[in-house]
Amino acid sequence: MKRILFAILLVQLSGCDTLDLVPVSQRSVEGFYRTPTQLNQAIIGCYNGLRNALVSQQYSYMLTESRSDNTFQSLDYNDGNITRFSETSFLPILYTAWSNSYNKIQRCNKVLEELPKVSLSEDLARQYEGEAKFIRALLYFDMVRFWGGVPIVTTSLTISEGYAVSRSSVEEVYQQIEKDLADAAQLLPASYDNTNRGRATRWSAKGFLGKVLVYQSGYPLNKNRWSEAAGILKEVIDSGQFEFFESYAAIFSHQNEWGKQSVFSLIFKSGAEGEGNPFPTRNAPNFISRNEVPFGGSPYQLFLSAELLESFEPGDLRKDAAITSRWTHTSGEVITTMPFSRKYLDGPVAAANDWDINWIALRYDDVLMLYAESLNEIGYDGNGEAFSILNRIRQRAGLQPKTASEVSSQQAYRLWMENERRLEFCFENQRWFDLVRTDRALDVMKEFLRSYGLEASMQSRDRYYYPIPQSAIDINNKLVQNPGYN
Amino acid sequence: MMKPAGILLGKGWKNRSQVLVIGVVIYLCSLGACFAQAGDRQQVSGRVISAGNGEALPGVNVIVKGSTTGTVTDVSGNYLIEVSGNNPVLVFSFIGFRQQEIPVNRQTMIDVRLETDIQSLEQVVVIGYGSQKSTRITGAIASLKSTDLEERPVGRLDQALMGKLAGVQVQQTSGAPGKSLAVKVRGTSSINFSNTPLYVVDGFPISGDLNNLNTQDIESIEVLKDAASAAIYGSRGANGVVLITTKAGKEGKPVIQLDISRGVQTRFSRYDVLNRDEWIEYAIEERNNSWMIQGGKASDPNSARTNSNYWIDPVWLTDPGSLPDNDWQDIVDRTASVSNYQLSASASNDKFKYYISGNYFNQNGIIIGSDFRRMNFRTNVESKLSKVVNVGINFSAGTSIRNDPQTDWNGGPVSRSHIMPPVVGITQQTESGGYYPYVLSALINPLAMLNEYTNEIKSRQFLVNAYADVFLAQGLKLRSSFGTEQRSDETLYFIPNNINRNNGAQATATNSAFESYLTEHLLTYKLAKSSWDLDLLGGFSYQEAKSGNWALTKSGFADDEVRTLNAGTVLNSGSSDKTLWNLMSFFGRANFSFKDKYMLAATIRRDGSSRFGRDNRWGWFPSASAGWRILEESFMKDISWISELKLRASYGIAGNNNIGNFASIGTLGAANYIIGTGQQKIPGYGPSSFSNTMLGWEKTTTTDIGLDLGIFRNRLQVGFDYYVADTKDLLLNVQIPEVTGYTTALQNIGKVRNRGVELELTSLNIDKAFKWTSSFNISANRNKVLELGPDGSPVYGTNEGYRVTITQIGKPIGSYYMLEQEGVFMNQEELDTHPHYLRQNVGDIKYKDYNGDGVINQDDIHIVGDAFPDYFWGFRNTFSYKGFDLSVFMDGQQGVNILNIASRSNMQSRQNVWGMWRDRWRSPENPGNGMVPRAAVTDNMTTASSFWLFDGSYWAIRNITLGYNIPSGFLRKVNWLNGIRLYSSVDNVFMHDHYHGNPQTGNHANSSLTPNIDSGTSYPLATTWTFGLSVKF
Repeated sequence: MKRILFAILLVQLSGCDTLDLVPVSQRSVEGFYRTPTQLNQAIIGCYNGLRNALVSQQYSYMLTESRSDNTFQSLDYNDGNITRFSETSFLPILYTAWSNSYNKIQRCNKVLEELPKVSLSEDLARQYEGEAKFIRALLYFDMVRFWGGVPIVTTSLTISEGYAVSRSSVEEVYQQIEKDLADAAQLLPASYDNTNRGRATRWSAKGFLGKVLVYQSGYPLNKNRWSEAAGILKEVIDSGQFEFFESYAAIFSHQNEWGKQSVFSLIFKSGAEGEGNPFPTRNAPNFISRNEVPFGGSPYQLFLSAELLESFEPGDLRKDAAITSRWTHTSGEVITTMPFSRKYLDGPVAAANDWDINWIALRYDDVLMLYAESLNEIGYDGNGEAFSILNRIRQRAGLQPKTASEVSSQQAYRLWMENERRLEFCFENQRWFDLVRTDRALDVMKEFLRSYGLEASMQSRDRYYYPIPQSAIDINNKLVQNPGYN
Repeated sequence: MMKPAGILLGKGWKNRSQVLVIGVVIYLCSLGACFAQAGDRQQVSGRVISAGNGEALPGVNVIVKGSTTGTVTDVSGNYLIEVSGNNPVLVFSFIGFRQQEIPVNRQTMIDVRLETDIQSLEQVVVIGYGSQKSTRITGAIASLKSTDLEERPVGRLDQALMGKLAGVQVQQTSGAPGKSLAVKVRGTSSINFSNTPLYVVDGFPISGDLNNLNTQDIESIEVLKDAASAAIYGSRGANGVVLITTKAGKEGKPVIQLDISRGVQTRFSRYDVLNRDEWIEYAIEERNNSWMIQGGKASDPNSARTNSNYWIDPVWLTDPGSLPDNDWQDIVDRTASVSNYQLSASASNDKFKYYISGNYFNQNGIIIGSDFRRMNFRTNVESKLSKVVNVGINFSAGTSIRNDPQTDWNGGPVSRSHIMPPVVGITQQTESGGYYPYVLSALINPLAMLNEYTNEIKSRQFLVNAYADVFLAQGLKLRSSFGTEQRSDETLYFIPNNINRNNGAQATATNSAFESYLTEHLLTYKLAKSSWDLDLLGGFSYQEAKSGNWALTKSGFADDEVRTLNAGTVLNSGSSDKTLWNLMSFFGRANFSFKDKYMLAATIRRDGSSRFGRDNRWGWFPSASAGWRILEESFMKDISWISELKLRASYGIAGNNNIGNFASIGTLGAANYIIGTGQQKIPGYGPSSFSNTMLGWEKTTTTDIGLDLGIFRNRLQVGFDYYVADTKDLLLNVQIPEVTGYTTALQNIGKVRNRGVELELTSLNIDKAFKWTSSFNISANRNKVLELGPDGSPVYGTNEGYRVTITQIGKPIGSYYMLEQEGVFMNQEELDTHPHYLRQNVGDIKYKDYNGDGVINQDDIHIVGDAFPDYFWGFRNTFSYKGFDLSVFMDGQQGVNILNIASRSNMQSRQNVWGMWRDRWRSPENPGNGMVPRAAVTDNMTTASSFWLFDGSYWAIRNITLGYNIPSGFLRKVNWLNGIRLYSSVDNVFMHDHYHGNPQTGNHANSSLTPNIDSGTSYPLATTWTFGLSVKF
């Protein structure tokens, strides 16, 4: 009898490594980043992260459009305080933005670390490196504009290394972004075949590099890098890869989602698989009739400011292309007092917030206008290209071109550019950043908030940056809070 | 010479032995050898009754002292016995009664009244992998017998435990039929993981839910509370172990028992909300105030108000009476029936014993559309194959169906019945009925949801454990067992378009299956000497479990007729997943007892599990305990009023392995993207967690000191325990610097202390024809965090995006951490003199300037309460007289907070609000009660403060049961009847509390870090009136 017992024990003891079970339905980090296919999957994960940060996450508009004078948000959600410049370091969306950005940056860092260990064709190795750096640069570009000098992390950190990290300066962050974009411009191919379209190209990298140079030339660094910016933006313009659409509305149509108006787009697909674009309906009113917007709008909509609506000149075609002023409530009532953004509201949709249409992260028009702006900064020329570009934009909008007599100085051109950019790119998350880099945010927003009796909350340039989330400081006190938020 | 016949005497052999006795006597007499001094042989008869209630006692053992002659009383308590010899003495004994000895003294009629013994000293208590005499227990074990459970039928076992045992906190968080209760033994030791005890049914550790266990099949429940008792369960013992023993056949003739009960349930807990006129007044006030905060004027018409949130329905001003005045709670509830049917049979002889039962339980919920039906079968059989081998099998199978139209869901009908404004029409807020444009459009009509949802959950479970006992030598036994638990839950969910905001109908079918296999081999050795006893146990156990889920969702249904997935035309999602774990263990125990006076016990367990990190796979779990029965000391002999006195002390280590199956392995999350003009979806991945190869179990070290005291022949019994339980290596999902790419990582860090006292009192107050017994238990537990994270920084808990709790060194886990409300700014002067938080106006909440620096900011946030009751108690009184018995059970808790996140009413009049808003601030002249702010959407609504916090103290009369046992005199005429009991009972009779709903409530998001959070979504409790009948054949 005892022998039987021992036998049972022995059989079961010999299987001691039966305790080494591995997950069945969950991929584990162990064994990943080994094959070319896995590396491609990791790069796809980076693109997913970029799309998430720039569009799908609520902070993408809450920290940009909601902050600007284009909208005035209700207090129901986080951006109510952002609109009112009354946010504190505890505002949840700030923490989301902070942690999500680093989470997506980590994906890029991990790829860049593992890349040399995998045997890949040289072309593919260069492309993957370029893509990871491009995506990382764009993520940092948002961060440096939200918070100023954030910690620069370019490798995967252990937990204890994480505690040792402190903030870098704004300049250092821009240097990192510039370096990544410059590398990407070298590494990435000029184009892809149709099956790979949508990936970042050399021109995507150069376009953003030009934009980043423009930003460095503005607040707070005020480096004069206008000539470099103009040079690189000109390269993009001269590449012949892109096209100035003669119709403003056509830029945002589903039919043209793969068109040449885009220097770089984030790709979406409807079908309720989590790959759809939330942007179109997120901006539409919650109560809108399903007959007008399938699956309705959302409570997170943008509430457009009266001031924005008034700033369109009569006959500006961009207004109707960007804004719906008359719509039907679920109750049947026709609403005319609550206009909403209708950009990208086109094409197939399979479920709520699941639109098919791609979202343009860098429009060719932006490249042209940044180029024009750079030219004006290099030197005012009433008959130069800076004028012709901006007038082309105006004429497309159905407006009369402006002449040197109307815009008679470099400074006057700047204000013209500011206004034209506002209308051209409304709801595309540009306005707030433009106001900050031109250092106009203080004046413009103070004036804007005055109409709500809130000008007291915007009294200094401290408000150009958001507070570092309190929980990030709580866990690592090397992170110094931005001025004005203590 | 009579001896050979005597050996055969036994209950089942009475008649045969009498035949033998007579035979032998005749034989001897026929030899003419009747010299024996048996001339005084005589017959004695009589009746045995209970001294307490005068009832006949059938089955009482009647033995002639010093001989082997004996009999048992019949159904009516009558006996007849033949005695002989000099001065014979009759011994009457019966379980639960004190033994009596009566000299015959030539009487021929001896009637006996047996007195009840509250707790028989020789009671046996089930312990881990064995059993022990209660007097020899050295750990902290709470015990509940079937008699405590049988008084009335209870749908769920956890419900039956409520308030009955010291140190065991049972909370009925939801009244939904078939929903499980929250059970906690001695406080909260795990911060992030389950605090649910391990349930072991007849030796088989089950997967957690007691859903398919039938209360009436249960013989006893033991709760192992201290680590010394639970350490034998190793890495699963730290949350306490609940040992459930099901019934077995009892010696005697077959017993067939039929139980039938039926009841009705009505709503017990209800929220006080505004009615139409109150709500309209409130809504107009709120919308004007809120619009003014947005920069408008109260006189602005709707067309000037940019958002419909600020619109006022003109009818409110012109003809409010034309709008409905719906009390949505009344609309969704109903009077509902509950019934229970059980039939069981059991018997035992020396070769074979069995218990079989079938049960059907049917409960309709008090919320329309919800119900629960369950069917259970059980067979416990054991057979003696030979002198050295016993084999047995315990088999139970159950199936249940639960219909739950999303009642407890956040956006579900119960929640909506609290916040749907009264002016909304009975068919409105649906696609067919249209939406009332002046309230939150997301509110879906609760009645429509209840009528139109399908959410049917079918569960099946069977548990089988087969065993063989081999008696190897004197005192040495091997038990080998093999068993399996299989359960599956199948859900069909369907949401019609009408209640899905025109997003189309959608159906989801899910299935989750769980299987677990267990084999155990135990070797026990018992050595009993005259002055000492030694019990040894050595064992091996291996358990593995697998679970899998699949889910399919389809849309594109033509209509709501056919609700299964075949009718859908679009496949929205489909997935399946599997997971598994295993556990291998070696364990041993030694119990030593010297003269029943000094007891020593030691256990050891070694556990290895796939759940632990690769470099930390095996752990040791030792324990030691000692007991001193002072009663047995010679100096106690003269103190006759003390009938029991024992000191216990124990120390042990147990673990909590509820850490997830693969938590130690870093995972990749899916992160897909679309590439190419053909829009191809390419699978992508990103790392989503760190690997930690050292990840292990949480370790609880408990020191327990206990005292058992019995006085006045155990008429008063006292059990007292003091314990300190330190849990270390807590698995914390520690916040880590976000720059690593992750916000949290799972690490064995941190230490928590639970310290407490438990007192149990049982007394037999009156023991006459009228009998009164009381049992009372009270527990107090103090929870304190001792260590946290690498730098000791606190862990915060959030709910619905708000930071509401802190877990901080020196304080209880998940303490409420927020601004403290001081009152409301009653007038301009107060507003001018007291600091503000963000933008504030007269009528807004006045926060306490806690640090006194003249500014209200984040620095004024502090701990304002916690979710741990100062103490909780249960109190039961049982009265009996003649055939009647009455029991009243009460329970309560004191000094506990509830965070009601719904009470913030941040949507204000876009929903309905609680009645407390009647006392709101309206103007300096009409400032309300000084604690409820003005009606307006302000930052106050979204600033976490003690305004959201409520007192959860209560005391309740949980149950009153009145029973009547038909007198045996009546039954004697019907000899196939062995007993009839009629009873009626009321559950949830009365509750005194300071809360707006059920103070034991909680929601699905509750965890140790964010405890006692109510979102106003929980299914209300019911008052249940039951009438039942129990018949024994």
